[in-house]
Amino acid sequence: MTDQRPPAELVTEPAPDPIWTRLSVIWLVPLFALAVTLGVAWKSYSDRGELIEIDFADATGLRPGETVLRFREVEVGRIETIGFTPDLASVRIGVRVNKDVAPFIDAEARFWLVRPQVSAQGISRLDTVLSGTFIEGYWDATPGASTRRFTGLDRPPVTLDPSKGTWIELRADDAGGLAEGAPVLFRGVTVGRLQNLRLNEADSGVTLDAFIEAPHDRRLTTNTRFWDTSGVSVSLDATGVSLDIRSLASLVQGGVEFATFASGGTQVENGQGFRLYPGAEAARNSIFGAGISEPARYILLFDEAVEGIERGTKVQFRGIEAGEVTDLSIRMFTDTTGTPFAKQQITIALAPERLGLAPGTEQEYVNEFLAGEVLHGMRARIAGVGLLGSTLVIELTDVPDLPEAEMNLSAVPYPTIPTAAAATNDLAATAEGVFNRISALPIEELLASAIRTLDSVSALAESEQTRALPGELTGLMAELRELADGLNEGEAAAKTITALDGLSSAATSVQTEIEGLGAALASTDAAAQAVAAMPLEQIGAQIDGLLADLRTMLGSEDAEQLPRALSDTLEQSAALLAELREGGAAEKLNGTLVAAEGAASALEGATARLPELTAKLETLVTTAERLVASYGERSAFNAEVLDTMRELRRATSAFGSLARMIERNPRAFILGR
Amino acid sequence: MGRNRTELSVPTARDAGLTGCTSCGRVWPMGTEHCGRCGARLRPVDRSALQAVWAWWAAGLICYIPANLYPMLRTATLGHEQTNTILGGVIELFAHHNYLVAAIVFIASVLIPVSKFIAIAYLALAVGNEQRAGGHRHLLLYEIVEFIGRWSMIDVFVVAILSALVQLGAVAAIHPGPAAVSFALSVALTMLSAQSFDPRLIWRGPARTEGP
Amino acid sequence: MNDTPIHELMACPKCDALHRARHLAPQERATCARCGALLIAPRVRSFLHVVALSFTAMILMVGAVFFPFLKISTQGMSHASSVFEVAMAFSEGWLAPLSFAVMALIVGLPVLRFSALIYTLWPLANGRPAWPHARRIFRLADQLEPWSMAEIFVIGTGVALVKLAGLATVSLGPAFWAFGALIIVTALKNAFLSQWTIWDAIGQS
Repeated sequence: MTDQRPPAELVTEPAPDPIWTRLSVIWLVPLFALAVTLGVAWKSYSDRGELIEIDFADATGLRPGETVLRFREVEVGRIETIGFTPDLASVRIGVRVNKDVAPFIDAEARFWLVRPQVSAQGISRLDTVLSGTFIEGYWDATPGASTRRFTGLDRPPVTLDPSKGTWIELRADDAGGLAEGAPVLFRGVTVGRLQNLRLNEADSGVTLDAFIEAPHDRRLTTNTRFWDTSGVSVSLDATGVSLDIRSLASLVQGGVEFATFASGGTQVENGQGFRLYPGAEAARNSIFGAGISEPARYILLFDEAVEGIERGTKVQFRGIEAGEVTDLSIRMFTDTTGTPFAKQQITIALAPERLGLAPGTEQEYVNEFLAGEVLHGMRARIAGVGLLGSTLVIELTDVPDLPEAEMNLSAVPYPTIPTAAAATNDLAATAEGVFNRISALPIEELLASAIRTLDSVSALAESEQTRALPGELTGLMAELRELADGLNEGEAAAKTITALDGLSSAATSVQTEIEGLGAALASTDAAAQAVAAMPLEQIGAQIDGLLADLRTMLGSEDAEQLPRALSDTLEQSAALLAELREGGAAEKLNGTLVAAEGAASALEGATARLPELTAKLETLVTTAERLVASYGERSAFNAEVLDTMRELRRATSAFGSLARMIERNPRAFILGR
Repeated sequence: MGRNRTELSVPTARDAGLTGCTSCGRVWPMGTEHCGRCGARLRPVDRSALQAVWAWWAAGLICYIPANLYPMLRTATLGHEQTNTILGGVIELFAHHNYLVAAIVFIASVLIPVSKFIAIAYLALAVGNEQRAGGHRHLLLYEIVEFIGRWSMIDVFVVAILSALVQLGAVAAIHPGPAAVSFALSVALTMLSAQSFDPRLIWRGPARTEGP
Repeated sequence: MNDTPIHELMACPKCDALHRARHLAPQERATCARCGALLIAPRVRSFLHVVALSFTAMILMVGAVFFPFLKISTQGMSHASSVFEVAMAFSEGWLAPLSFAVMALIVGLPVLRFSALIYTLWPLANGRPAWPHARRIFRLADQLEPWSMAEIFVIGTGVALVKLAGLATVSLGPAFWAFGALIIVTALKNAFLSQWTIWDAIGQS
């Protein structure tokens, strides 16, 4: 059976148009929009920088999306996230860094927070109060291995680029007024900063790193000396009052200045060590070099009282200055019966080169050398030098006729050098001369003149005279020198300097060593009483008054009158001294050295007020400085005031030397130097 | 006036006993509730719609009062904070010789809203009183009101942009004031008021306003 | 007049004038005989154009919302802001509803309207019957028109820029340009939209 049914017809329908013919051109519009939108999206995604992570101690002022990362004050990134490190010890900041700088951020890169800072150097980054804290970064121009995690610095680095300068190390006994970030000055110009103040591990000193910026680091040589300029330095000594404030910053934060006093040094390498002296004078005059090689140190033990020795007292090695006293203390010993007794322990430091050894010689070689000297009879002793032996030094010299002694090289903390009794001069030969000199002094008149002088100083200080001439001061000083020469070559010519040196010890030995002075002693008492009765307090009060006047004057515009007044005063002082010199005929005092002592102690009592006076001087100087500061720099007024100050300082120096002389050595005042 | 004559001869859907859909334009027999084509509710042309106009209008006006009394912007610059009402801002811009912006803000925030209130009130009051011949002017006015009403919103947007953009910490920061809300509400309500107004009422002569 | 079938009549929505509606030839437009309102303005392939432009507008809106909008910078400080942040400017306290409203006016409602248009017109453009609920959705699109205020927002940006011009440097982000393009696209799209034609098409399907 075949199926007779016809095959089915094909079902036909119109073929649909191809899809592209149905597409309208209008679809290009959304396509274009889509392309542009996707393009922008892709570009912003691909332009988005790399994420780096920086750890900081805290995130004060940082806000994601707002706080920026800057490189040379140009924004190069923005904080994205703020989180914590896994141990929660610090904050981890995620920063999206622009693509173009990302390759340069390598392991050398450093980051720190920039916030407003109020420091002694002034107020800085005040702009960040408004703009908010930002992160500053620094990296060099050589792309390095990609590093993406950093630890932020606690504070801005002293220098952005350590290759643009020299790092050196400073060692000092104590930090004094120095603080991190304090300036390093060269001739008053800031050329670097201090950083990383730390205690020495080995000894009790401190170490500071200092960065000297290029090109100023070329000023450094191995002979360069550094000193601390912290605060105000007012020094009152024989050269006068000197006042030094380098900058306000150094006043608050401390500062270090350097200078090269000696030529011949070599260029400094990074990390070179330098000694930091406490002051410019110390730096200039120190016999120890610029380097930090430790001087040899020794201990001297004295049975006797060593009044007059202080830190910085010179140590002479066979007459040559070779070191200084660095420490004074008392050391207890027990004798054979078990009774404790005290010895004075003096630590000295010696510069090897002054002993004839090579600079920087190790202590053990110095020990060896000194031990040999000691075997040959060298001892340490206290000696007076100077006109009247008023200045004490430690002498390392051969002392004959002493039992043999040895250095204790194993003593702690430093080896000891055996000592000898203080050098007493040949008193018998000189006492008479000394008495003659003393008896020749018109002490009462002198004191009367002193009072008159001070009166006139006061009067002159109040008077309105015209400007002074420093020349007068020079003349005066010349006169003073002449006087000293006169004393040396005139009446005192017969006495040797060494005889005069022994005066202080002579004062004590007079009673014990010289007989037949009983009658003299009686009159001594009378003389002492006479001296004691003198209106020394009045002098002191007048000095006070004078200083008050000086201060008032400095506050007023009459300040410039002062030098004139002072020079006049000093002229009078000169006259007084002249009188002293010619006063051989005066027979007022049948004095003895004991009387001199009495007078001296009375004077000492009066001059105990001198520190107070010095303090007042400082106040005065501070007032003056403030006055100067209240006017702009380099104004005409300022210049004038500075001139005045300079004049004043000179004048005050002369006055100061007088005062200091009284303080240090009242005897000299009475005895006419 | 030839056109007017033509116009008068044109029959309305209402005349033919039909209701026109305002949404799609189809006509349905009177009484039909919803448009069979677009589903919109068919609104017969009568004055009852005016109640909604007045209600929205009043609400918009009420909102417009605090919009002018309260500050629109609070500008804090360096710790010093200053508030500006709409008019205060215009006056300040004018004082700073910023005439263009002052004019834009004044037109968008003061002139347009106020004229809109007046225009809608006028149109609503005029229904039934005007001549049919006046219809063209009224329709034009209506179209202007409807078109321009939304543009008052510009001030709200400006406030939003400024507030979002000017956030520079202590230096300058702008915050919106309460007036922004009431002003936006006022604009929205007057828009609703304008939309509620049935322009077909304009074309109804005085005689026929009361309905068949 | 009454002879005309009811579905061929149309009433002017502005003045209620009754007309006899008919399909127009291309390049023709019909206005009301009384008030002159534009009643019918069909364009060639206008449905397709509206759909395409709506797509374009949607894409642009995505860019406008997510790209940076404006950036202000003065004296080293800067602040960038997106459209979203602009809307959120009112998010403090009781102003928050306004924040929502602004977001809706400049982003939400326009997007809704574009979607509604695409939904309605996509099948019609392809000559297929309208999808379910097309009527309601197209009416919604129609009603939303006055409330989508993207173009006003752009002009507002301009005003804000002029206001800030002296105080700070304002730089425009991609979002601003997206918004600008959006305005143009929307205007074009509205020009292609002829309500009656669409309703007629929906009604016929």
